[in-house]
Amino acid sequence: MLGLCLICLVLALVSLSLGSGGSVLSLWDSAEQIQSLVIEVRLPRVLGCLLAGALLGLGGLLAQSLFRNPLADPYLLGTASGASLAVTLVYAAGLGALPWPWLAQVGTVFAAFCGACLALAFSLLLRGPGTSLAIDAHANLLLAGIVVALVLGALSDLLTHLRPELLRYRLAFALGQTSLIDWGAVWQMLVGFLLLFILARLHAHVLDALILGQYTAASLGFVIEKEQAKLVAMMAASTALVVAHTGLIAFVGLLAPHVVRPFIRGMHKPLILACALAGALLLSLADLLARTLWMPQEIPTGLLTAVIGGLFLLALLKRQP
Amino acid sequence: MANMPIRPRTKAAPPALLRVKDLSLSRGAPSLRQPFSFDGLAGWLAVIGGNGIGKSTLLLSLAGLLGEAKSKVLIPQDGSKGVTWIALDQLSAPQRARSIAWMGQSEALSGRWLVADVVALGHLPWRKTTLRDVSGQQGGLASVPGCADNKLATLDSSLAPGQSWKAALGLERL
Repeated sequence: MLGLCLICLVLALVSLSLGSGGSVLSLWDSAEQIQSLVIEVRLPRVLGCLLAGALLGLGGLLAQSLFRNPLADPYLLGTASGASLAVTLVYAAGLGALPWPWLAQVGTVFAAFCGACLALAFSLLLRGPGTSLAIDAHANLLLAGIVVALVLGALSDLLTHLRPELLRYRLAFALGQTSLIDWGAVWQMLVGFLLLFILARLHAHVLDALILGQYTAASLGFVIEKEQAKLVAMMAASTALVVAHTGLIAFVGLLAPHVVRPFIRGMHKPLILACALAGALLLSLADLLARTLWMPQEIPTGLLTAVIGGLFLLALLKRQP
Repeated sequence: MANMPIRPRTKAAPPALLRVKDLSLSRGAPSLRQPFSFDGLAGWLAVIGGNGIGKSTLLLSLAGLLGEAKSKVLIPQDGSKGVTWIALDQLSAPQRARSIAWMGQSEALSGRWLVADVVALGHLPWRKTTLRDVSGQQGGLASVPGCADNKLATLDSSLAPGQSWKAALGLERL
Protein backbone atom coordinates (compact mmCIF):
# COMPACT_ATOMS: atom_id res chain seq x y z
CA MET A 1 0.00 0.00 0.00
CA LEU A 2 2.82 2.36 0.93
CA GLY A 3 4.57 1.38 -2.30
CA LEU A 4 1.49 2.30 -4.34
CA CYS A 5 1.30 5.68 -2.57
CA LEU A 6 4.96 6.35 -3.31
CA ILE A 7 4.65 5.38 -6.98
CA CYS A 8 1.59 7.62 -7.31
CA LEU A 9 3.52 10.50 -5.74
CA VAL A 10 6.55 10.03 -8.00
CA LEU A 11 4.31 9.75 -11.06
CA ALA A 12 2.45 12.92 -10.07
CA LEU A 13 5.73 14.82 -9.68
CA VAL A 14 6.99 13.60 -13.05
CA SER A 15 3.66 14.54 -14.66
CA LEU A 16 3.83 17.98 -13.07
CA SER A 17 7.29 18.67 -14.40
CA LEU A 18 6.82 17.20 -17.85
CA GLY A 19 4.74 19.03 -20.44
CA SER A 20 3.11 17.67 -23.57
CA GLY A 21 5.35 19.87 -25.67
CA GLY A 22 8.43 18.31 -24.17
CA SER A 23 9.08 21.18 -21.77
CA VAL A 24 10.55 20.20 -18.41
CA LEU A 25 10.02 22.45 -15.42
CA SER A 26 12.91 22.92 -13.08
CA LEU A 27 13.52 24.67 -9.79
CA TRP A 28 15.20 27.50 -11.65
CA ASP A 29 12.12 28.49 -13.58
CA SER A 30 10.52 31.78 -12.69
CA ALA A 31 7.64 31.93 -10.22
CA GLU A 32 5.32 33.31 -12.91
CA GLN A 33 5.99 30.35 -15.16
CA ILE A 34 5.30 27.93 -12.35
CA GLN A 35 2.20 29.88 -11.36
CA SER A 36 0.68 29.88 -14.81
CA LEU A 37 1.71 26.45 -15.99
CA VAL A 38 1.64 24.29 -12.92
CA ILE A 39 -1.13 25.79 -10.83
CA GLU A 40 -3.57 26.51 -13.63
CA VAL A 41 -2.90 23.69 -16.12
CA ARG A 42 -0.82 20.77 -14.94
CA LEU A 43 -1.77 20.48 -11.27
CA PRO A 44 -5.54 20.17 -11.84
CA ARG A 45 -4.90 17.66 -14.61
CA VAL A 46 -2.55 15.55 -12.48
CA LEU A 47 -4.86 15.64 -9.46
CA GLY A 48 -7.87 15.03 -11.70
CA CYS A 49 -6.24 11.94 -13.19
CA LEU A 50 -5.43 10.60 -9.73
CA LEU A 51 -8.99 11.18 -8.54
CA ALA A 52 -10.69 9.88 -11.70
CA GLY A 53 -8.51 6.76 -11.59
CA ALA A 54 -9.25 6.26 -7.90
CA LEU A 55 -12.99 6.58 -8.56
CA LEU A 56 -12.80 4.08 -11.41
CA GLY A 57 -10.75 1.65 -9.28
CA LEU A 58 -13.30 1.93 -6.50
CA GLY A 59 -16.19 1.49 -8.95
CA GLY A 60 -14.47 -1.55 -10.46
CA LEU A 61 -14.09 -3.24 -7.09
CA LEU A 62 -17.73 -2.52 -6.24
CA ALA A 63 -18.87 -3.96 -9.60
CA GLN A 64 -16.77 -7.11 -9.32
CA SER A 65 -17.82 -7.83 -5.74
CA LEU A 66 -21.47 -6.97 -6.32
CA PHE A 67 -21.79 -9.18 -9.39
CA ARG A 68 -19.29 -11.79 -8.14
CA ASN A 69 -17.66 -11.56 -11.53
CA PRO A 70 -13.98 -10.70 -12.01
CA LEU A 71 -14.74 -9.36 -15.49
CA ALA A 72 -17.34 -6.85 -14.31
CA ASP A 73 -16.45 -3.19 -14.70
CA PRO A 74 -18.09 0.02 -13.48
CA TYR A 75 -19.48 0.82 -16.95
CA LEU A 76 -21.94 -2.04 -16.66
CA LEU A 77 -25.62 -1.18 -16.48
CA GLY A 78 -25.37 1.31 -19.34
CA THR A 79 -24.05 4.28 -17.38
CA ALA A 80 -21.38 5.12 -19.97
CA SER A 81 -23.82 4.96 -22.89
CA GLY A 82 -26.32 7.09 -20.96
CA ALA A 83 -23.70 9.75 -20.30
CA SER A 84 -22.57 9.63 -23.93
CA LEU A 85 -26.11 10.11 -25.25
CA ALA A 86 -26.74 12.98 -22.84
CA VAL A 87 -23.57 14.77 -23.96
CA THR A 88 -24.52 14.25 -27.63
CA LEU A 89 -27.97 15.71 -26.90
CA VAL A 90 -26.43 18.71 -25.18
CA TYR A 91 -24.28 19.47 -28.22
CA ALA A 92 -27.22 18.81 -30.56
CA ALA A 93 -29.16 21.44 -28.62
CA GLY A 94 -26.35 23.90 -29.27
CA LEU A 95 -25.11 24.21 -25.68
CA GLY A 96 -21.57 23.48 -26.77
CA ALA A 97 -21.51 26.62 -28.92
CA LEU A 98 -22.58 28.99 -26.15
CA PRO A 99 -20.48 32.15 -25.77
CA TRP A 100 -19.87 31.24 -22.11
CA PRO A 101 -17.55 28.22 -22.04
CA TRP A 102 -18.04 27.64 -18.31
CA LEU A 103 -21.79 27.28 -18.80
CA ALA A 104 -21.22 24.82 -21.64
CA GLN A 105 -18.88 22.79 -19.42
CA VAL A 106 -21.19 22.77 -16.41
CA GLY A 107 -24.09 21.82 -18.69
CA THR A 108 -22.13 18.98 -20.26
CA VAL A 109 -20.97 17.60 -16.92
CA PHE A 110 -24.45 17.83 -15.45
CA ALA A 111 -25.98 16.20 -18.54
CA ALA A 112 -23.45 13.34 -18.45
CA PHE A 113 -24.19 12.75 -14.78
CA CYS A 114 -27.97 12.77 -15.39
CA GLY A 115 -27.56 10.50 -18.43
CA ALA A 116 -25.59 7.95 -16.41
CA CYS A 117 -28.15 7.99 -13.60
CA LEU A 118 -31.09 7.66 -16.03
CA ALA A 119 -29.43 4.72 -17.79
CA LEU A 120 -28.97 3.04 -14.41
CA ALA A 121 -32.64 3.65 -13.58
CA PHE A 122 -33.67 2.09 -16.92
CA SER A 123 -31.50 -0.96 -16.24
CA LEU A 124 -33.04 -1.41 -12.80
CA LEU A 125 -36.55 -1.03 -14.21
CA LEU A 126 -35.92 -3.43 -17.08
CA ARG A 127 -34.46 -6.23 -14.96
CA GLY A 128 -38.01 -7.31 -14.23
CA PRO A 129 -39.77 -8.46 -11.08
CA GLY A 130 -38.47 -11.07 -8.70
CA THR A 131 -36.45 -11.22 -5.53
CA SER A 132 -32.83 -10.24 -5.84
CA LEU A 133 -31.88 -13.43 -3.97
CA ALA A 134 -32.81 -15.47 -7.01
CA ILE A 135 -29.75 -16.98 -8.66
CA ASP A 136 -30.57 -15.38 -12.02
CA ALA A 137 -31.36 -11.92 -10.64
CA HIS A 138 -27.85 -10.66 -11.35
CA ALA A 139 -27.94 -12.11 -14.83
CA ASN A 140 -31.22 -10.24 -15.43
CA LEU A 141 -29.67 -6.98 -14.26
CA LEU A 142 -26.56 -7.48 -16.37
CA LEU A 143 -28.65 -8.31 -19.44
CA ALA A 144 -30.82 -5.25 -18.80
CA GLY A 145 -27.64 -3.17 -18.58
CA ILE A 146 -26.37 -4.56 -21.89
CA VAL A 147 -29.72 -3.83 -23.58
CA VAL A 148 -29.83 -0.28 -22.20
CA ALA A 149 -26.21 0.30 -23.32
CA LEU A 150 -26.98 -0.96 -26.82
CA VAL A 151 -30.19 1.05 -27.21
CA LEU A 152 -28.70 4.28 -25.86
CA GLY A 153 -25.58 3.76 -27.99
CA ALA A 154 -27.77 3.29 -31.04
CA LEU A 155 -29.66 6.49 -30.23
CA SER A 156 -26.37 8.38 -30.03
CA ASP A 157 -25.36 6.87 -33.38
CA LEU A 158 -28.66 7.91 -34.90
CA LEU A 159 -28.28 11.45 -33.63
CA THR A 160 -24.74 11.63 -35.01
CA HIS A 161 -25.93 10.21 -38.33
CA LEU A 162 -28.61 12.90 -38.59
CA ARG A 163 -26.28 15.67 -37.41
CA PRO A 164 -22.76 14.80 -38.67
CA GLU A 165 -21.30 17.96 -37.10
CA LEU A 166 -21.79 16.27 -33.70
CA LEU A 167 -19.29 13.58 -34.58
CA ARG A 168 -16.26 15.45 -33.34
CA TYR A 169 -17.80 16.14 -29.90
CA ARG A 170 -18.93 12.56 -29.60
CA LEU A 171 -15.57 11.25 -30.70
CA ALA A 172 -13.76 13.35 -28.10
CA PHE A 173 -16.08 11.98 -25.43
CA ALA A 174 -15.82 8.38 -26.61
CA LEU A 175 -12.02 8.43 -26.75
CA GLY A 176 -11.63 9.71 -23.20
CA GLN A 177 -9.84 13.01 -22.56
CA THR A 178 -8.04 14.13 -19.44
CA SER A 179 -6.84 17.40 -20.95
CA LEU A 180 -10.03 19.26 -20.08
CA ILE A 181 -9.91 18.62 -16.32
CA ASP A 182 -9.91 21.92 -14.47
CA TRP A 183 -10.06 22.91 -10.80
CA GLY A 184 -13.86 22.69 -10.77
CA ALA A 185 -13.70 19.08 -11.92
CA VAL A 186 -11.01 18.33 -9.33
CA TRP A 187 -13.12 19.65 -6.45
CA GLN A 188 -16.20 17.77 -7.62
CA MET A 189 -14.29 14.51 -7.96
CA LEU A 190 -12.49 15.05 -4.64
CA VAL A 191 -15.73 15.51 -2.71
CA GLY A 192 -17.31 12.58 -4.57
CA PHE A 193 -14.33 10.31 -3.96
CA LEU A 194 -14.12 11.09 -0.25
CA LEU A 195 -17.83 10.42 0.21
CA LEU A 196 -17.77 7.20 -1.81
CA PHE A 197 -14.58 5.98 -0.15
CA ILE A 198 -16.06 6.43 3.33
CA LEU A 199 -19.30 4.75 2.25
CA ALA A 200 -17.38 1.86 0.67
CA ARG A 201 -15.35 1.35 3.85
CA LEU A 202 -18.56 1.35 5.89
CA HIS A 203 -19.95 -1.31 3.53
CA ALA A 204 -16.81 -3.45 3.43
CA HIS A 205 -18.45 -6.23 5.45
CA VAL A 206 -21.42 -6.25 3.07
CA LEU A 207 -19.01 -6.76 0.17
CA ASP A 208 -17.24 -9.52 2.13
CA ALA A 209 -20.53 -11.27 2.74
CA LEU A 210 -21.81 -10.80 -0.83
CA ILE A 211 -18.71 -12.35 -2.34
CA LEU A 212 -19.52 -15.52 -0.39
CA GLY A 213 -22.91 -15.66 -2.08
CA GLN A 214 -26.22 -13.94 -1.59
CA TYR A 215 -27.75 -16.62 0.61
CA THR A 216 -24.72 -16.56 2.90
CA ALA A 217 -24.91 -12.76 3.03
CA ALA A 218 -28.62 -12.93 3.88
CA SER A 219 -27.94 -15.55 6.54
CA LEU A 220 -25.47 -13.12 8.14
CA GLY A 221 -28.26 -10.63 8.75
CA PHE A 222 -28.08 -8.32 5.75
CA VAL A 223 -31.19 -7.19 3.90
CA ILE A 224 -29.75 -8.00 0.52
CA GLU A 225 -32.07 -5.90 -1.67
CA LYS A 226 -31.32 -2.76 0.37
CA GLU A 227 -27.58 -3.36 0.45
CA GLN A 228 -27.43 -4.12 -3.27
CA ALA A 229 -29.35 -0.93 -4.09
CA LYS A 230 -26.85 1.12 -2.08
CA LEU A 231 -23.87 -0.54 -3.75
CA VAL A 232 -25.33 -0.10 -7.25
CA ALA A 233 -25.93 3.60 -6.51
CA MET A 234 -22.34 3.99 -5.29
CA MET A 235 -21.00 2.26 -8.39
CA ALA A 236 -23.09 4.47 -10.68
CA ALA A 237 -22.07 7.65 -8.83
CA SER A 238 -18.38 6.83 -9.15
CA THR A 239 -18.76 6.15 -12.89
CA ALA A 240 -20.93 9.17 -13.57
CA LEU A 241 -18.51 11.52 -11.82
CA VAL A 242 -15.60 10.32 -13.94
CA VAL A 243 -17.42 10.00 -17.26
CA ALA A 244 -18.86 13.49 -16.86
CA HIS A 245 -15.38 15.02 -16.69
CA THR A 246 -13.21 12.77 -18.82
CA GLY A 247 -15.44 10.82 -21.19
CA LEU A 248 -15.03 7.09 -21.50
CA ILE A 249 -11.82 5.83 -19.90
CA ALA A 250 -11.75 2.12 -20.58
CA PHE A 251 -10.27 -0.75 -18.58
CA VAL A 252 -9.03 1.16 -15.50
CA GLY A 253 -11.99 0.05 -13.37
CA LEU A 254 -11.74 -3.51 -14.62
CA LEU A 255 -7.99 -3.73 -14.20
CA ALA A 256 -7.33 -2.02 -10.85
CA PRO A 257 -8.73 -4.83 -8.63
CA HIS A 258 -6.78 -7.45 -10.64
CA VAL A 259 -3.54 -5.53 -10.16
CA VAL A 260 -3.76 -5.40 -6.37
CA ARG A 261 -5.57 -8.61 -5.42
CA PRO A 262 -2.46 -10.86 -5.56
CA PHE A 263 -0.69 -8.58 -3.09
CA ILE A 264 -3.43 -8.00 -0.54
CA ARG A 265 -4.07 -10.35 2.33
CA GLY A 266 -7.54 -10.00 3.73
CA MET A 267 -10.99 -9.17 2.49
CA HIS A 268 -12.47 -5.88 1.27
CA LYS A 269 -11.34 -3.34 3.84
CA PRO A 270 -7.72 -3.18 2.66
CA LEU A 271 -8.77 -3.81 -0.96
CA ILE A 272 -10.86 -0.64 -1.16
CA LEU A 273 -7.90 1.68 -0.59
CA ALA A 274 -5.59 -0.51 -2.68
CA CYS A 275 -7.98 -0.50 -5.67
CA ALA A 276 -8.39 3.28 -5.46
CA LEU A 277 -4.60 3.71 -5.42
CA ALA A 278 -4.12 1.23 -8.27
CA GLY A 279 -6.77 3.05 -10.36
CA ALA A 280 -5.10 6.39 -9.64
CA LEU A 281 -1.73 4.94 -10.62
CA LEU A 282 -2.99 3.37 -13.86
CA LEU A 283 -4.78 6.48 -15.10
CA SER A 284 -1.90 8.78 -14.14
CA LEU A 285 0.52 6.55 -15.99
CA ALA A 286 -1.75 6.47 -19.04
CA ASP A 287 -2.10 10.26 -18.94
CA LEU A 288 1.65 10.73 -18.73
CA LEU A 289 2.19 8.41 -21.68
CA ALA A 290 -0.63 10.07 -23.61
CA ARG A 291 1.13 13.42 -23.24
CA THR A 292 4.64 12.26 -23.99
CA LEU A 293 4.59 9.31 -26.40
CA TRP A 294 3.93 11.37 -29.56
CA MET A 295 5.13 14.77 -28.45
CA PRO A 296 4.03 17.40 -29.22
CA GLN A 297 0.81 15.68 -30.27
CA GLU A 298 -1.34 14.26 -27.50
CA ILE A 299 -3.10 10.89 -27.72
CA PRO A 300 -6.55 10.52 -26.11
CA THR A 301 -6.00 8.92 -22.70
CA GLY A 302 -8.92 6.52 -23.14
CA LEU A 303 -7.24 5.00 -26.18
CA LEU A 304 -4.07 4.29 -24.23
CA THR A 305 -5.88 2.81 -21.24
CA ALA A 306 -7.75 0.50 -23.60
CA VAL A 307 -4.57 -0.72 -25.30
CA ILE A 308 -2.37 -0.95 -22.19
CA GLY A 309 -5.19 -2.25 -20.00
CA GLY A 310 -6.21 -4.89 -22.48
CA LEU A 311 -2.67 -6.21 -22.88
CA PHE A 312 -2.04 -6.10 -19.15
CA LEU A 313 -5.24 -7.97 -18.40
CA LEU A 314 -4.33 -10.64 -20.94
CA ALA A 315 -0.92 -11.01 -19.31
CA LEU A 316 -2.51 -11.33 -15.87
CA LEU A 317 -4.95 -13.95 -17.10
CA LYS A 318 -2.11 -15.90 -18.68
CA ARG A 319 -0.10 -15.85 -15.44
CA GLN A 320 -2.97 -17.14 -13.35
CA PRO A 321 -3.34 -20.92 -13.12
CA MET B 1 -43.09 -37.03 5.39
CA ALA B 2 -46.24 -35.07 6.14
CA ASN B 3 -46.78 -34.16 9.81
CA MET B 4 -44.08 -36.52 11.07
CA PRO B 5 -41.88 -35.41 14.00
CA ILE B 6 -38.25 -35.92 13.11
CA ARG B 7 -36.32 -37.32 16.04
CA PRO B 8 -32.67 -38.23 16.31
CA ARG B 9 -31.80 -41.56 17.93
CA THR B 10 -31.50 -40.52 21.57
CA LYS B 11 -32.99 -42.04 24.68
CA ALA B 12 -34.73 -38.93 26.03
CA ALA B 13 -36.45 -36.69 23.51
CA PRO B 14 -34.54 -33.39 23.32
CA PRO B 15 -36.40 -30.08 23.06
CA ALA B 16 -37.60 -28.83 19.70
CA LEU B 17 -35.43 -26.09 18.17
CA LEU B 18 -37.50 -25.53 15.08
CA ARG B 19 -41.15 -25.95 14.21
CA VAL B 20 -42.41 -26.15 10.65
CA LYS B 21 -46.11 -25.61 9.99
CA ASP B 22 -47.78 -26.31 6.65
CA LEU B 23 -44.67 -25.62 4.62
CA SER B 24 -44.78 -26.52 0.94
CA LEU B 25 -41.88 -26.04 -1.43
CA SER B 26 -42.03 -24.68 -4.95
CA ARG B 27 -39.37 -27.16 -6.13
CA GLY B 28 -38.40 -30.70 -5.33
CA ALA B 29 -40.20 -34.00 -4.80
CA PRO B 30 -44.04 -34.09 -5.00
CA SER B 31 -44.25 -34.91 -1.27
CA LEU B 32 -42.46 -31.63 -0.49
CA ARG B 33 -44.87 -29.66 -2.67
CA GLN B 34 -47.75 -30.69 -0.41
CA PRO B 35 -48.04 -28.87 2.96
CA PHE B 36 -46.06 -30.69 5.64
CA SER B 37 -45.22 -30.02 9.27
CA PHE B 38 -42.58 -31.28 11.68
CA ASP B 39 -40.57 -30.39 14.75
CA GLY B 40 -36.79 -30.28 14.38
CA LEU B 41 -35.29 -31.55 17.65
CA ALA B 42 -31.92 -30.69 19.18
CA GLY B 43 -29.05 -32.82 17.92
CA TRP B 44 -27.73 -33.76 14.51
CA LEU B 45 -30.19 -34.15 11.71
CA ALA B 46 -29.33 -35.22 8.18
CA VAL B 47 -31.43 -34.64 5.11
CA ILE B 48 -30.73 -37.25 2.47
CA GLY B 49 -32.17 -37.87 -0.97
CA GLY B 50 -31.39 -37.97 -4.67
CA ASN B 51 -30.48 -35.11 -6.96
CA GLY B 52 -33.22 -32.53 -7.43
CA ILE B 53 -35.41 -33.91 -4.68
CA GLY B 54 -35.39 -30.59 -2.82
CA LYS B 55 -32.78 -30.96 -0.05
CA SER B 56 -31.19 -27.56 -0.61
CA THR B 57 -34.55 -25.85 -1.07
CA LEU B 58 -35.78 -27.39 2.18
CA LEU B 59 -32.72 -26.21 4.11
CA LEU B 60 -32.94 -22.72 2.58
CA SER B 61 -36.59 -22.60 3.64
CA LEU B 62 -35.76 -23.71 7.18
CA ALA B 63 -33.13 -20.96 7.41
CA GLY B 64 -35.70 -18.37 6.35
CA LEU B 65 -33.82 -17.50 3.18
CA LEU B 66 -36.73 -18.15 0.84
CA GLY B 67 -39.13 -15.28 1.40
CA GLU B 68 -42.43 -17.13 1.06
CA ALA B 69 -41.39 -19.84 3.54
CA LYS B 70 -40.50 -17.50 6.40
CA SER B 71 -44.00 -17.45 7.88
CA LYS B 72 -44.13 -21.26 8.00
CA VAL B 73 -40.97 -21.75 10.07
CA LEU B 74 -41.09 -20.98 13.78
CA ILE B 75 -38.36 -20.81 16.39
CA PRO B 76 -38.69 -20.78 20.19
CA GLN B 77 -38.27 -17.53 22.08
CA ASP B 78 -37.83 -17.40 25.86
CA GLY B 79 -40.12 -14.83 27.46
CA SER B 80 -41.78 -14.04 30.76
CA LYS B 81 -44.58 -16.47 29.91
CA GLY B 82 -42.20 -19.30 29.09
CA VAL B 83 -41.32 -20.43 25.60
CA THR B 84 -43.36 -18.97 22.76
CA TRP B 85 -43.02 -19.82 19.08
CA ILE B 86 -42.34 -16.99 16.68
CA ALA B 87 -42.37 -17.09 12.87
CA LEU B 88 -39.14 -16.11 11.12
CA ASP B 89 -40.88 -13.33 9.14
CA GLN B 90 -41.58 -11.55 12.43
CA LEU B 91 -37.86 -11.20 13.11
CA SER B 92 -35.56 -8.58 11.63
CA ALA B 93 -32.75 -9.85 9.41
CA PRO B 94 -30.09 -9.53 12.18
CA GLN B 95 -32.42 -11.19 14.72
CA ARG B 96 -32.98 -14.09 12.34
CA ALA B 97 -29.22 -14.32 11.71
CA ARG B 98 -28.59 -14.56 15.46
CA SER B 99 -31.05 -17.44 15.70
CA ILE B 100 -30.26 -19.57 12.65
CA ALA B 101 -26.96 -20.10 10.87
CA TRP B 102 -26.69 -21.37 7.32
CA MET B 103 -23.70 -22.42 5.27
CA GLY B 104 -23.90 -23.05 1.54
CA GLN B 105 -22.34 -25.88 -0.40
CA SER B 106 -19.97 -23.82 -2.50
CA GLU B 107 -18.73 -20.72 -0.72
CA ALA B 108 -15.85 -19.45 -2.84
CA LEU B 109 -13.22 -18.98 -0.16
CA SER B 110 -10.17 -17.15 -1.48
CA GLY B 111 -6.85 -18.45 -0.25
CA ARG B 112 -5.65 -14.89 0.42
CA TRP B 113 -8.30 -14.12 3.00
CA LEU B 114 -7.23 -13.98 6.61
CA VAL B 115 -8.72 -16.75 8.73
CA ALA B 116 -9.52 -14.06 11.30
CA ASP B 117 -11.54 -12.08 8.73
CA VAL B 118 -13.58 -15.12 7.71
CA VAL B 119 -14.28 -16.03 11.33
CA ALA B 120 -15.15 -12.40 12.12
CA LEU B 121 -17.81 -12.48 9.40
CA GLY B 122 -19.65 -15.09 11.43
CA HIS B 123 -19.99 -12.56 14.22
CA LEU B 124 -21.56 -9.87 12.03
CA PRO B 125 -25.10 -10.49 13.33
CA TRP B 126 -23.79 -9.33 16.71
CA ARG B 127 -22.00 -6.45 14.96
CA LYS B 128 -18.74 -7.75 16.38
CA THR B 129 -16.25 -7.53 13.60
CA THR B 130 -12.87 -6.75 15.07
CA LEU B 131 -10.16 -9.25 15.73
CA ARG B 132 -10.39 -8.60 19.46
CA ASP B 133 -14.11 -9.42 19.36
CA VAL B 134 -13.68 -12.81 17.77
CA SER B 135 -10.36 -14.07 19.06
CA GLY B 136 -10.57 -16.27 22.10
CA GLN B 137 -14.33 -16.70 21.97
CA GLN B 138 -16.05 -19.99 21.47
CA GLY B 139 -16.50 -20.35 17.71
CA GLY B 140 -13.85 -17.68 17.28
CA LEU B 141 -10.29 -17.70 16.01
CA ALA B 142 -9.14 -19.99 18.82
CA SER B 143 -11.40 -22.73 17.49
CA VAL B 144 -9.50 -22.94 14.20
CA PRO B 145 -6.49 -25.25 14.61
CA GLY B 146 -3.16 -23.51 14.29
CA CYS B 147 -4.64 -20.03 14.10
CA ALA B 148 -5.21 -19.11 17.73
CA ASP B 149 -1.80 -17.45 17.91
CA ASN B 150 -1.48 -16.42 14.29
CA LYS B 151 -3.73 -13.49 13.54
CA LEU B 152 -2.27 -13.04 10.04
CA ALA B 153 -2.86 -16.64 8.92
CA THR B 154 -4.44 -16.85 5.49
CA LEU B 155 -6.68 -19.66 4.36
CA ASP B 156 -4.21 -21.15 1.89
CA SER B 157 -0.93 -20.54 3.72
CA SER B 158 -1.96 -21.88 7.09
CA LEU B 159 -4.78 -24.31 6.67
CA ALA B 160 -5.26 -27.69 5.11
CA PRO B 161 -8.35 -27.88 2.89
CA GLY B 162 -10.42 -29.40 5.69
CA GLN B 163 -9.37 -26.65 8.03
CA SER B 164 -10.60 -24.00 5.59
CA TRP B 165 -14.02 -25.43 6.14
CA LYS B 166 -13.42 -25.29 9.86
CA ALA B 167 -12.87 -21.55 9.42
CA ALA B 168 -16.04 -21.38 7.38
CA LEU B 169 -17.79 -23.21 10.18
CA GLY B 170 -16.47 -20.47 12.46
CA LEU B 171 -18.08 -18.11 9.97
CA GLU B 172 -21.39 -19.77 10.68
CA ARG B 173 -20.77 -19.98 14.44
CA LEU B 174 -21.38 -23.70 14.73
